[in-house]
Amino acid sequence: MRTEKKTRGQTQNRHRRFDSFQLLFLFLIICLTILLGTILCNFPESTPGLADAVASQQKQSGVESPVTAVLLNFRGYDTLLEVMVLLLAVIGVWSLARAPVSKQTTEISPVQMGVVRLLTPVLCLVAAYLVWQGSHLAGGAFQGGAIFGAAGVLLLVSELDWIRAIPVSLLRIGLVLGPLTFVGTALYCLFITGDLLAYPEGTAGWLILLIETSCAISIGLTLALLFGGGRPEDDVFNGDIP
Amino acid sequence: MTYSILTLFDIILVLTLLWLGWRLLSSEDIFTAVILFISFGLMMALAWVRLRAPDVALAEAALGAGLTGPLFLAALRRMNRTRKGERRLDDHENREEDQRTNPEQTQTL
Amino acid sequence: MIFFEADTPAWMIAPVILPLIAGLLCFLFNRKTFIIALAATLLNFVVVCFLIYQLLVFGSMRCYIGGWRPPLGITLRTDGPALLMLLMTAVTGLAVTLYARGYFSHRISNPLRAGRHQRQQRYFWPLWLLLLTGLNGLFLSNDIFNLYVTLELIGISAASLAALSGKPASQRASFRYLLISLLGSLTYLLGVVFLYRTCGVLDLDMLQNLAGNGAGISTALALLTAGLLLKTALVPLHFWLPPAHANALAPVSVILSALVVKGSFYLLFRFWFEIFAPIVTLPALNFMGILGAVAVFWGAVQAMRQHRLKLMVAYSTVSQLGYLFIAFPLSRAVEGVQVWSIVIFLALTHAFAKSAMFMAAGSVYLHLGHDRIKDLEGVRSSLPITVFAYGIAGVSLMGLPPSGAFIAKWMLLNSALTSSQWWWVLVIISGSLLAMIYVFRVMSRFFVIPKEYTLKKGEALSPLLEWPALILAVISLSLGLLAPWILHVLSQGNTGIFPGGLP
Repeated sequence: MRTEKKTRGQTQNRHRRFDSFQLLFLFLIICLTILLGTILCNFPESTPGLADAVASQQKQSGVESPVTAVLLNFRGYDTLLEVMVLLLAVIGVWSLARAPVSKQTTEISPVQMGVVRLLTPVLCLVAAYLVWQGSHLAGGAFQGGAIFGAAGVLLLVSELDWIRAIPVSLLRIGLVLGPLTFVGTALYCLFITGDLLAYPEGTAGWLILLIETSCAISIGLTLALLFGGGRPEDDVFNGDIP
Repeated sequence: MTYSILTLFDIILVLTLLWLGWRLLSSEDIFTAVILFISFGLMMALAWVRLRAPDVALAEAALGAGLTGPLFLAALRRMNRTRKGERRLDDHENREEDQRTNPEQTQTL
Repeated sequence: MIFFEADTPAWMIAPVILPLIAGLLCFLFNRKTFIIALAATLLNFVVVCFLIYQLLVFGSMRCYIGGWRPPLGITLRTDGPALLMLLMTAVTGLAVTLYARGYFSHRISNPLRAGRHQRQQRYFWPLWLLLLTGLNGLFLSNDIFNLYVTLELIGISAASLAALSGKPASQRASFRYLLISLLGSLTYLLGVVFLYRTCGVLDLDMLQNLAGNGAGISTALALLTAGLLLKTALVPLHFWLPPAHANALAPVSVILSALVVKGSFYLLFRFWFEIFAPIVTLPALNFMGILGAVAVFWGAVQAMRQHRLKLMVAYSTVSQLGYLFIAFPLSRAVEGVQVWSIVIFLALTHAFAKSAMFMAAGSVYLHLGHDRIKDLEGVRSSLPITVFAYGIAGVSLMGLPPSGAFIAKWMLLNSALTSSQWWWVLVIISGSLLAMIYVFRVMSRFFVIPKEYTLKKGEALSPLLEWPALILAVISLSLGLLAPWILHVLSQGNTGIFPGGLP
C-alpha cells in the first residue's frame, strides 16, 4: 500500500515537476540573483560599516558582546518592535482557529515520558545559560527563547494533563511579560535620563539582563504556542460579557 | 594548508546548500520537503558559523532546524486530517453555533 | 525624575509607545478593551496635535533614542509631511475605533452567531492598536532598518486583521496578502543590505548626504521601490488588494484601504523625492507616471463593472492610488512645484473619503444583509446619514471643490499645462469622470424607492455606525478650505523639496 503510493508519487514527480509559469519565475529569479551578485562583486570599495563605531562605544553599553550591545542598547528600539512582531504572530494565529484537541486517551509510552523527563530540564538549563551568556558571548534572548520554546514543544507533544490545565490568563501574562518589561524599562529610562532606553549610569548591564530574561520567557512561550496551532479552548468565554 | 581545507569545506557546504534547496523545491511530496528543509536549516547554521556570525548560527539552528520543522510537520498533520474530511475546528465551532441558534439557516454569513 | 518641557523632542515617542502599551493591555485583559482602545486613540490624537504645535513653534526636530547619535543609534524625526500623515492616521483611527465599537455591538446584539463576533472583537482591538503602533512608527522613523521593522509590524497585523472575518474567501485573500507583504518586506530588506554595503550607515539624513551616483545605490533604490510598490498595490501589482480589502470586516476594510497602503506609499515618496532625489532619472519618473495612469483607468473600469458595493470601493482604491503616482513625472515639470503638497492633499482626501465610503458600505451591509449594487433600493429612506456620507465622500473622491483632491488635481493640471505635457491632463480629467460614473451608479440605486417599499421601523443603526462616516466625509470635503493651514504645516522644517518657496 505504502510503496504503491510512493511509486505513484514518483511518476507524478517525473511528469510534472514545475509548470511553465513556475519555470519562468525560477528563470527570472536566477537572472536577478546573477545580476545582483555581479553588482555586489563589482563594488568599487566596501565601507567598514558601523563595526568601529560599535567597538568604540562598547564600554558604555554595559555588556561585552557587541551583538547584544547593538540589539539591546544602541538599537534597542528595533528589538522592542521585533518582540512585538513575535507577539503579533501569536495573536494572529489565535484569532484564526482553535487549537486542536487530541482525543487520545491512551497512556503515553514510557520511552517518550523518559525523554521528556530527561530533556525538558536540560533544555531549560541551556536556555537560561544562553540568556546569561548573551552578555559576553554569542547568545541572548532570541536564542535562549528558542531553546525554551523547544522545551515547550516537547511538553506539548507529550500531552501531559497539567499542560492542558494551564489557564489561558496565565499564558497571556507569560506572553505579555517580555514586551511589557521591555516597555516598562524603556519608560523608566525615559523618566530617569530623559531618553527612551538610555539606561542610567551603571545600571545598563542589569537592566539588559532583566529585559533579556523576561523576553526569553515570552519568546519561548510564543514559539511553543505557535506550535500549538490555535487559541486555547476557553480563550474568549473567560469571564467575558455573555 | 588549513586555508585550503577550509575553502574546500566552504565549497562543499555551498554546493550542499544549493543541492538541498533544489531538492526541497522540486520534491512533490511535502513530507520529504519538510525533512529537507530541516537539513537545509542545519547546513545554513554551519554556513553562518563559517561567516563568523555565531549568534545568527545559534538562532538558525534553534529556529530554522529545531522549531520550524516541527511546526511544518504539525501543520502537515492538520492539513491531512482536513483533507480526509474532518472539518476545520473553527468552522466546526461556527457550525455548532449556527445550528444551536438557527437550525434552518445554515449558510455562513 | 525629569520634567518634560514643551520643546523636548522626546514627546514624539508617545504616538508609538501609547498604542503599543494599549495593544498589550487589550491582549491581556478581556474586559474594557474598547475603553483602553478609545483612550489610546484619543490620547494619540491629542499628542499628534501637540506635536504639530511643537513643529509650528520650534520647527523640525530629531529625537535620538537611547541618546545614541547616528550612525550608531536610531533617530525619529518630525517634519511637515510626517506630522500630516500622523494626523491623518490619528483622525481616521479615532473614527475607526468608534465605528468598530458600533459594528461589533450591532453584530453581537444579534443572538445569531454572537459568539463568533465576540471572538472577532476580542482579537480586533490588540491587532488594530499594534497596527497603529507600526504606522506611527513608520511615519516618524528616520532609520532605514527601523522602517523595515515597522513594515513587518504593519504587514503581519494587517494580514491577521484581513483574515478576521473567518470566511473562506477572506482567508484565502488574506493569506495571499500575507505572502505578498512578506515578499515586499524581503525585497525591501535586500535593498537595505545593498545600501548598508555601499554607504555603511542606516540613518536617512546620512544616506541623503552620501547618495551620489553609483550602481550600488541605484540597485538598492530599485529593490526598495519594488518592495514598496508591491505593498502599495500599483497596477500590475494590485491583484491582491481588491479581494483582501473587500472580504474583510467593515472596520478592517477601512483601516486597510485608508491607512495601510498610505504607509508604504509615503516611504516610497520620501525615498524618491528626498533621500535619493539626486539619482532619480526622468525616464524612471515617467515610468511611474504611466503605471499610475494605467492604474487610474484600470481601477475605475473595474470599479464600474463590480456587482458588489465593497468590491467597487476596493477597486476605487486601486484607481485613486494611481493619482498619487501621476504626481511623480510632474514633480520636475515646473521649478518650485510643491510635490509634497499635491501628494499630501491626495492622500489625506483619499484616506478620509475612502474610510467614509467603506464605513457606509459596511453599514449598508449590516442593514440589508448584503451589498449587491442592484438591490440597494430604498436605503436612502432608512439610512439617510449613511447615504449622505457616501455621497459627500464620492464628491471628494471625484475632486470637486472644495475637497482636498480638487486642490491637488488643480496643481497637477497646472504643472502639466505649464510644462506642456498635455497628455496627463487627459488622464486626470477622464479619471475624475470615471470616478463620477462609478460613484453615481451606486448613488442612483440608493435613491430609487420601489412602489411597495415600506420604511423599516425599529431597525435603526447605532449612531456609532453612521456618524463617524459622515464626519470623515465632511472633513475630506472641507480639506480644501484648510489648505492654507496644511501648506503652512508642510512648509515647516523645510525638507529641501520647496526650491521655489511657497506662493
